[in-house]
Formats: sequence, structure tokens, C-alpha cells
Amino acid sequence: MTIAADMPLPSGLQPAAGPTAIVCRGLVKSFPVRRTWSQAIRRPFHTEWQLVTDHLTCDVVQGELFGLLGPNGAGKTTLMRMLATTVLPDKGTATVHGADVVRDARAVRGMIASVVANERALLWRISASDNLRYFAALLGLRGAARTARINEVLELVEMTDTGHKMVGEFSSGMRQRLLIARALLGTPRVLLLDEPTRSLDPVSARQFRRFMTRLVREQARCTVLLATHSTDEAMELCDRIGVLDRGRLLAVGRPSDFSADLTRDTFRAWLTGDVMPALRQLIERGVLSDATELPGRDGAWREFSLVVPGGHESAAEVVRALVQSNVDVARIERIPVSVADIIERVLAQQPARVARV
Amino acid sequence: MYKIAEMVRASFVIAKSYKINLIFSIIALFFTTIPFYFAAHALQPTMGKVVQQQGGDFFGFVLLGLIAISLLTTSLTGVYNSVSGSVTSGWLEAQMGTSTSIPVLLVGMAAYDFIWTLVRVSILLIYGRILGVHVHWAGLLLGAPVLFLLCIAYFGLGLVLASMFLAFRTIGPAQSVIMMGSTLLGGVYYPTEIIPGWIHWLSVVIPTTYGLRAVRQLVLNGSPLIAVVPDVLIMGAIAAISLGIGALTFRTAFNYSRQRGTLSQY
Repeated sequence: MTIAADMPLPSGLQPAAGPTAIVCRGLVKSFPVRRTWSQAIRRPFHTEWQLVTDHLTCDVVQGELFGLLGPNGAGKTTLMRMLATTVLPDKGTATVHGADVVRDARAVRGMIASVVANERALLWRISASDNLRYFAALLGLRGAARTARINEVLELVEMTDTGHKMVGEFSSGMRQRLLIARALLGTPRVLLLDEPTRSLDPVSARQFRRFMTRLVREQARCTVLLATHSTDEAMELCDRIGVLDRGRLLAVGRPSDFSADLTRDTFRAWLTGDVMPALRQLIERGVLSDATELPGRDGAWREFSLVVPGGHESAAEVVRALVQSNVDVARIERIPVSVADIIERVLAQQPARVARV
Repeated sequence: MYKIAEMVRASFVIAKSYKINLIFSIIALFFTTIPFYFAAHALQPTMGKVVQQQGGDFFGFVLLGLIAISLLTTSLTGVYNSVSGSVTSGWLEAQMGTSTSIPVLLVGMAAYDFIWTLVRVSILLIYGRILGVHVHWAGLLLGAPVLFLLCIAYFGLGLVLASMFLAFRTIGPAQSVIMMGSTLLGGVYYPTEIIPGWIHWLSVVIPTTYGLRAVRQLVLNGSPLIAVVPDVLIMGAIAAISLGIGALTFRTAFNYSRQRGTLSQY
């Protein structure tokens, strides 16, 4: 995990490995703060500004699925909207495949497709196919090419059988898939997904993640910028994730880096038998750094927190050694990390790290 | 043009799905016309002489006023309704992602309403013909472009309303003021000549004064085009100025909205 700072690309920030699709340098954006009546009367010509992105600098590699994590108001959606050209940056530059989001806005719009979890941005009284036909026309597709592309994207989102149905009859998950299909119509080079599973139930969200993995990895092969609050999405889908807070990109790294950094190789194990001598032996051998019994107990199974330096390989050695010592192992797993953990940890580390950068 | 046609098609499919609404809007035209028919006939002895230069038939005079006001209301509100609705639903943001130019999007979003109003006013004209209005069909062909100019003038004002929405999230009473002013002072239900002198000067700046006078002379009186050239020229100038101001205002408001981040606020 590495820490980002101001433009130009800080030395501490992990450089993009490969040709870049999105390059942001020192993006600054402020919005006026809504005022109360009394404030407006007292100082009618005064405007207060809230800094939403603060010299934000990042690169996204072509073909990469880059996740943006951060608390509400961190600047994720504003960054997405600046890239989609619906919001103008105050300072700094952002380019999409070399096209500037301010100077070449139309060129950028031609390369980018944005998916916001907003079902209202569909025409509910007409069919899914007609919704796609509408957008295909705006993208300049006509005739047989248009029909073929509509069928292709409907197949991609597994809606071939329901394409003729009115959107108003769809579930939230189906509408979400239709939004994706619509975004893919023009074969975008960059896909912006802003909390795509926000309105989905856990099962639909899981289906959506599977669908996205297949779609992005195997079929569409475009660059994806994904803003999310979901740990599963961040960990399962993303090649790299960046943590934003108050408009600054604080850390960028692979999900596994964040996970390892946070859990510090802590595993949870359910064991039974003569456990304590076996664990003591492993600590003496240096395979385990620490072992603590947790209050959880399921019948004969006792729950332990084990610190295993070296990750999964060492964990496998621990299991082998425990079994050889006649300790039964029901389950061993790395303690799962949540988005909140990642954000909290990065925020907690932030002042010291930025000072170092 | 193809893009606009597809946008109109989608709007038509949506409108078609509201079957009852579609049927009632046609039937309502008939019931709207009837009271005007009786009122105009009651006033014919007095008003007939006043509108002599515009055909002399007061019901025909009012009918053309009704037709014009329907078209003008749609021209004024079509683009504003489309922009306000599509901004608050995120629809405009979604369409912007297609790299279609903003003018095409604006025209496309407002086009169906305008076409549907054209259908409705055509039906209104047929009702009028059935109820005895004498229409000079050759004059109608000449009057249609004049009406179109009038619509452009109001489309320009509609762009200003849409700009106000983008910039301030409200248009206040602007729409009502424009339509009320046009109706009361622009010669929609009565000729501007009967408006009292102290307020008559206002009708000079209202586009309907010129547009409607020209259209009525062409359609109801069968006057030659040469007779209405001054009114048409003034109409053309007003339309050009209005459209220019509307386009400029909208462009400014659009960029202001992008700057303030309110283009996709829902």
C-alpha cells in the first residue's frame, strides 16, 4: 500500500504499471455551501465554499478495475462526474486516453460511459430494447448494426428473454443490468460505476459482482473506475483500490496489500484437542508470533486468534504442525477486512505517512 | 435528424402507453372549443367590425388565437419541462454520455410535445371548419411559416426559462407572466386595438401581436403575403433575437451549472 499526496505524482505513490487510461493531476473542486436565510441576509454577497477534491492526483491503468473507497463526502462521485464532464474542475487536469475533460469534453464523452445506481435515468414506460434503441441512436448506431449491438449487450447482461418487457416491470437488479447494458452500447473504453449495487439486495449484489467479473475480465475488457462502499466489491473485483478522504487520495494499493496490512497476518482458527502445548511449540519455533484464545466456543471447538507471519504458506505449515500434534482443525481463515477498517486504518496512518512523503 | 426522430419515436411509444390520456386529450379539444364558439357568436355583432381586416368572423379569430396559444405554450414550456425533468431524474446526465450535442438533445427532448401539439391544433382547425370557420387554405400554407417563426420566438424564451432553472433551480412566476402577458396583451382572444391606451404600448413588444395579426390576415382574410410583410419582418427579427439570447443564456447557464455541480442534482 502506498500513500498519495499532491501533484505531480508523488514519489510515494505506486506508479501505474502500464499505459494509463485515466490521468488526474492536482484536481481541485469546490462547491458553494448552501446558506440559511439569516446568513444570506447578514452577508448577501458572501459565498462559502466546500473543498470536495483537494489536489487529487491518480492514474488508472488501461484495462484495470480501480476501486475508489472513502466515507460519504470524500469526493468519489465528484471525481466521477469530472471525468464524465458533467462537473468542471476548478484547477488541475484530468485526461481520459489523452483527451482533456475540459477542452475535449465531447471526445471524452465518446470514450466514457457512466453508470450511476439511479433507476430513474431509464424510460420506464417502454421496453428495455426500446431504451437501448434510444441510446443507440444517440450514439449514432443505425439499422442492422444497431439491432446487432442491442442484441449483443442484452446477451451480455443476460436479458435477451426480457428485452421486450417494459422497464417498469423490472426488479432493481434487472434495471441495474439494463443501465450497464446501456453503458456498454457504445463500446466504451472507460466505464465509471458509482456504487452500482447500492440499491440491490445481498443476493442480487453477489450476482451482479459475478456478472461484472465475467463482463469486465472476459468480455468488455474496458477500464473500470468503481466507487463503492462494499468490501466484497472492492476485494473481489478490483485490481487496485484507492482510499479517498476529504478530496485527497490517501492510499493506493492492491486489495491484498490492504488486507494483509490491516489484519497483520491474523488468522482465526477453530481447534480442539491438546491445543495449548502445540501452540506454545509453534511460537517457540517462530512459525506463530502470537496465539490468543477468544471467548467464542462451539461445543468442543475453541476459537483462537493466531498471528502467522508469512501469510497463507505459513498458515498451511501451522495446520500441518497442529494436525501432527493431534490437534483437530475445523477451520482456519484470515480475519476478513471491511471497507470501514481500510478507511479507518488509512485515515489513522495518514498524517505520519503524508509527512514522510 | 435521425437522432431527433428516434427521440420522438420513444416519446410517442411512451405517450401511447397512456391510452386514456391520449383519448381524453383529443376529446377535450372539442369541449374546449364549444364555449368559445357560443361566446364568439354572441359577441359577433360587436366584434365582427373590429376584426374586419382579419376576416370579420370573430369565432375564426378566437380559434386561431387558441391554436397559436397552444403552439406557443408548448414552444415555451417544452424545453424547460424537458430540462427540469431530465436534470432531476439524471436523464440529461445519461444522455450527455452519448456525446450528442446539447442543441440536438434539447430539440429532441422537446420535439414530440411540439409535434403532438401540431396534431391537436390540426384537429382544432378541423373542428373550426365543421363549426363554420372559413379558412383560406392557400393562406394557411403561407401562415404556417409565420406561426413557426412565432414558435421560434417562444422557444428562445423557453431556453431562457430552462437557463433560469439550471442556474437557480426555479423559474418563479416567469412562465405564467410570459403566457399571461401574451394572452392578455398579444391579441389572442381580442384584437390589440381594443386594449386601453395606457397599457397598449406593452402589446408592441409582444411577438404574438405581430405574428397572430399576420396569420389571421393570411388564413381568415385571404390577404396576399405582401400585405403582412412588415409584421413578418418584425416577427422574424424578434424570433432571431429571442433565439440568439436564449442560446447564449442557455450556454452560459449550462457551463455555470457544470461549474456549480448542479447539472445532475437529484
